[in-house]
Amino acid sequence: MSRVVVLGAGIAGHTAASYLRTWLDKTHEVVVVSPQSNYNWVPSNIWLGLGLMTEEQVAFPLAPVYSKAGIRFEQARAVAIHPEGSADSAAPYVVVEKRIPGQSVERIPIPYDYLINATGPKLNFAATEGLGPGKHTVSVCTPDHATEAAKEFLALVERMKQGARCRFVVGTGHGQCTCQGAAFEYVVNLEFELRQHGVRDKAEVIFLTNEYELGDFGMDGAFIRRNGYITPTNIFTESVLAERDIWSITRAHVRKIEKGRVFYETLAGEEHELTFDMAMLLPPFAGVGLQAFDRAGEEITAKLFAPNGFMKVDADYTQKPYEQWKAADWPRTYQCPTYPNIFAAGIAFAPPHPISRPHTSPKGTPIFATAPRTGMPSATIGRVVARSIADKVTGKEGPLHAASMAELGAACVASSGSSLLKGTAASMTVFPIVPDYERYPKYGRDLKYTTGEIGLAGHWIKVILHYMFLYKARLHPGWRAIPE
Amino acid sequence: MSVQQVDGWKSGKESATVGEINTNVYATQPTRFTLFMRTFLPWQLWRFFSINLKMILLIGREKHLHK
Repeated sequence: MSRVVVLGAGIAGHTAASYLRTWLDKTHEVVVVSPQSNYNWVPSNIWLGLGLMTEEQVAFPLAPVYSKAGIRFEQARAVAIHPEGSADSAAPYVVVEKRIPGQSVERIPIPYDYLINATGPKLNFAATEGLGPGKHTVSVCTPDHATEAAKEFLALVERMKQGARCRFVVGTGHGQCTCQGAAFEYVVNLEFELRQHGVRDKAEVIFLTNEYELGDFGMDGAFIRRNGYITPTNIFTESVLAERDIWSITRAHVRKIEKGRVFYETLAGEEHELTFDMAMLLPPFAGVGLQAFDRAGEEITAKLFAPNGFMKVDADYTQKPYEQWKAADWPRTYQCPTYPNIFAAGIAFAPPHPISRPHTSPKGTPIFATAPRTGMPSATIGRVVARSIADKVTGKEGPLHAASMAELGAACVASSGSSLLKGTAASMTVFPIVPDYERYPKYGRDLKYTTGEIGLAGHWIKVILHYMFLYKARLHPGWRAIPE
Repeated sequence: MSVQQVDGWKSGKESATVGEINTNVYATQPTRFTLFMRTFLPWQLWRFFSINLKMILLIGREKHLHK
């Protein structure tokens, strides 16, 4: 009997646990540890953040789903990994903090044979003074955050209906953010909703981003073949904003936020500030702060984790300049090099380096988009890691399964107006996510599979994906037939 | 790129120091025909089929690579 412990029940962790339960017979145990009681389909938080959906439409309780599937669920927060066990036993274990109703927090060890770290990101609002819910800006990173954002947005809409003029600032809240695609999707949806409410003429909408150019999206931009041209995503994205009269500020590191005022530094080293009535600014990501200890109880966190808190896996972490980055630097199996029974999936693994070219201001502030790990690759990595572990548990010989982001494509549908007849969405596919200039020397990607277009069809796809992926996550009959 | 000092220009708000804001006025803009086609149902049904096919081929290509 083997026990596989999955830390995290987001897209990567939930996918991995679901497949493991399918591929391993009931003599083996699958345990999911997550501080959240609900599964959240994060891409739909954009709609939640504008009052177009409710929390119940984008999230559901995990316990009944896992109970039915035969997965043990521990609602707890993982705090430490002991990969060598303790002085008494060589069996590896994780320590989790569990809140017992009416009592204090209890620390519980959970032994494992295989461990998947799919803890996702820590939303590092603290990196920027005044950033985040409860301070001066809103976010759409979690259902709670998005619900608060919707309340603030709708309150301002009411004020505008009374004649007030308002300024909305949407984008990234730090020079080292990722997920610009989510901020972009939010800003175009917000603009669409302002029009739907009949108050667009009373609003200024500004997209504030750490990207070097619009359309970078943390993947160094892309080229798409369209209407007889090979067009950079910069042109595509700028056009989407221009058409909607959304202004943009690029190459910006937000360093401080006060009530109604954002202070930012540009890549040129200039200091500026901007007033706002509502700001939705995404935080930078970090690892969740897991620690690691050896058998003697000495801390070995730096052996398992990069300084940013993400877990080191089979990537090439050698420091080298942008010109020497290669697709082969990116991990393939997500196995921890020091402890082969530990894997990391989704956002939890440490990328070898960003994908976008790094830039630093004259003051030494790094200002560029960091590497994204969106839902599609996260789920694929979760499945592949689960397959590797299932093979090991069942004694199948052969190499581990692989899913490098330099060999994975991604489909991204960014809604830009939620209406089944008048809405539109930007549908993009890229292949591969990490450009490979050895295989595709000129553009780094296969232009046959790197596409982008805007239209109502994209919105239909976005709506279908919302229901289809929630159906899959609920593990309803036939869920395995739905691809990641 | 169109760069302007715009703070307080349109919203009438208290003026603040603002750097380069790109109002994107020189960006590529869609024609009326393009805008019409974006929500023209027969064309969008075809695009729906086409985009889905592209995504399925993309997934198929990944699976082929990871065998």
